[in-house]
Amino acid sequence: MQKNRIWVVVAALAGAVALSVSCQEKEIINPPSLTAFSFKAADNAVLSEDYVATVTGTEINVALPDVDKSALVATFTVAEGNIVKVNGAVQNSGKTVNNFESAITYVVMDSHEENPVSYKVNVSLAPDKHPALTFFSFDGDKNAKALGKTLVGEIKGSEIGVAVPQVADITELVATFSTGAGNKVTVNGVEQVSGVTVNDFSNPVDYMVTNLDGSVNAIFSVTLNRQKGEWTAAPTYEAVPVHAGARILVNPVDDVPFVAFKRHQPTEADARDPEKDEKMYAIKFVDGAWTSIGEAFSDKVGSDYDFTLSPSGTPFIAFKNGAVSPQVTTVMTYAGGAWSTVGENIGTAATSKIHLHAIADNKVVVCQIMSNKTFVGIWDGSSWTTGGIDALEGNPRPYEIRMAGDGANAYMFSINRAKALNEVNYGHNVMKFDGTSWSGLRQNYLREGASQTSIVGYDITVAPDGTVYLVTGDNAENVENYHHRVEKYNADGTWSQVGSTIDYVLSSRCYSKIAVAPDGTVFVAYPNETVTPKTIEVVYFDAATKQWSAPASLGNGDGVEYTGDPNLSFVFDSKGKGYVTWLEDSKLLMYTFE
Amino acid sequence: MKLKHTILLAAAALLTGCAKNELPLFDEPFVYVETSTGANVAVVGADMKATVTYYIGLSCPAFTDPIGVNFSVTCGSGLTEGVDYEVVTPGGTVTFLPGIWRMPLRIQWKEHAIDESKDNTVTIAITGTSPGTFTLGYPGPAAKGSKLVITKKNL
Repeated sequence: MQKNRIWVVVAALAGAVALSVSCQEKEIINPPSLTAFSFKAADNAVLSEDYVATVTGTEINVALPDVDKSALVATFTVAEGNIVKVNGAVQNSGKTVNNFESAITYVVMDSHEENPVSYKVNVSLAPDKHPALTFFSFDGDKNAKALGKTLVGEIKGSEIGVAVPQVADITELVATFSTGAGNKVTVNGVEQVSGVTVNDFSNPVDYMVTNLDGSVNAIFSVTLNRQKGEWTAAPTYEAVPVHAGARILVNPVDDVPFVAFKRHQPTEADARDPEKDEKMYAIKFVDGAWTSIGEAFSDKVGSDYDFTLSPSGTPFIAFKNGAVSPQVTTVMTYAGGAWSTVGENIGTAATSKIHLHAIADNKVVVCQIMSNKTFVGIWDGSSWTTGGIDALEGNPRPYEIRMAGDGANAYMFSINRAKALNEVNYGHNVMKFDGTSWSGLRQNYLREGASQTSIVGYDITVAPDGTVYLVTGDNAENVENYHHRVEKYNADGTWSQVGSTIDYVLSSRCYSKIAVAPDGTVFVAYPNETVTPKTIEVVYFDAATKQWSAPASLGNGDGVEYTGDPNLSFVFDSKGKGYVTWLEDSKLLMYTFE
Repeated sequence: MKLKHTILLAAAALLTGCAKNELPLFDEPFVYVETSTGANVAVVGADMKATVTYYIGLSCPAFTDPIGVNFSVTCGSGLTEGVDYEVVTPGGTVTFLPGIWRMPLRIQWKEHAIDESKDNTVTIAITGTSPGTFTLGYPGPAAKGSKLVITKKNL
């Protein structure tokens, strides 16, 4: 039994040795074979997705987008034990970097580096999946006669806008543009050559961009917009945090811009200044810089305030006095280098939506809401007369109030609450005060076909020639969307519309402003909430085309996007220089127009 | 356009889920015409002297062969082509190449006084497609978007 066991062990060992010898003799040497080849996005930062080659015999073909191919990492699959070299350098799949700007050869050998097979890698251009115009301009040197300077287009989605001078001849312009490699650009079927092809831009021109294999196309419409002037960023005011409600006005005597505002109380407790927070400040813009003309000169200001300048340049502010109870309106003025109170307790209950206009230094009109009614105070230089407006039918509960005026009249625009009078849904009023009495230019008005007067997108202004302009929003023509509508009050007592409605669809925070330049051109500024980042846009009514211009974008300032109501303010000086201000993160941003 | 696809799919899913209500399922490809803000009615001033862009749009799956959309532009008795307006987009057909879902259609408005008592409308209507597999206007009995009516007014 013992001997048998020994023999079994010996036999097993002998068998193992024999098997081992046999295996060594039958080493498997796989013939060279490359079966898969790709470029993976994970290994190549220039690629946004994986690109897989087709391997046909010894030809490897792969199409890549228009990227830098000088340092790409390939991933490949070869038979087990195969050795791969490129120009004598051993290749590691997914690791080795090569220049694929031109065809290169992968040499695949067996494990003994014998029987080499050469695989040629051909990299071609892949059709652009998103063909586009990435740049568009009219170069000054190629359009010397018509333009004389380079104008760069602004690309917004598939629309390209180019601002051109009012008098430029745009019938024969040469465009310079960029698109992805392999794309073809045509206009009405005619292939376009950047910097060479001439087109008539009197009407918008559609550029069709077609990718290499024609599988994807894109259309870019180029529209030239006649520009009256240019908007330029001015220094931002941030010395003191600015609270909502800041308003810019221009002194009619010397054209100096003023802003009055309530100091914003910071959210952080340790950043607050109880002696100054929520009190009124005033600044002016002189020689390109903001300077103070009053700091914390008022009591604490409640939720509402407004600012005006009389025809002689005397500033007046009205504010909801947060230091008294109930919080009623106080009016202050600036004279002799100091601010002083000219009116207190204008109202017997808490006031809101406070606005004012100074027809003269001794004729200041305050309009506000008190106890759900319109309540007015009129200063005659020595005393105040307060009460409602008899001419305002029914004195319906107001939703909002605005004021404007000149040296002869004050105007109050107000929107009534929903069905506040005669079942009219947010009807609006325009009331005129001529220094003596009130009259209605429009009362409880709702445009035929409209669901309501929009509770955003409204403002009133008086042009230098005394014409009253109103911007409101309604959906009379398209029940699904509200648009700005500008109207003016004519000398014959009628209202007429200025152009069509403005294209921009009102959003819930579209707090707009209207201003009229000395030459009579009507401008409307509004926050565009549909773009990212949100931006301030300005359009004007083109007297030549009788159409609203394409919007000029004032950008988003320093990139800190405004939240809520940007508190737009808009005014022109006597020479036609425009000022638009708005708030971002308690800073006052300003653009000027010349 | 993506939104429209999404709405269409969502509506289709909703309607499928509510089959008991036997609401119609609108999931066929369609073509529509509208203003830049998506309206099917518009107003222009009689004194306007400018070119306005309107749009013809497709709602359908991705396609590889061009799609032609025929349109007509007609006016009411108060207006005259060449006097009150001109159609800038030639030919009565716009061709959608693969990848394009919206094509511009332009009308140049001319300053010309109008008689308010007459029909002062210009109507852009979709009249057909090639291939003819598209519903004209949004699916549904109202065929919203099958035409765009622009009224010229003394503003």
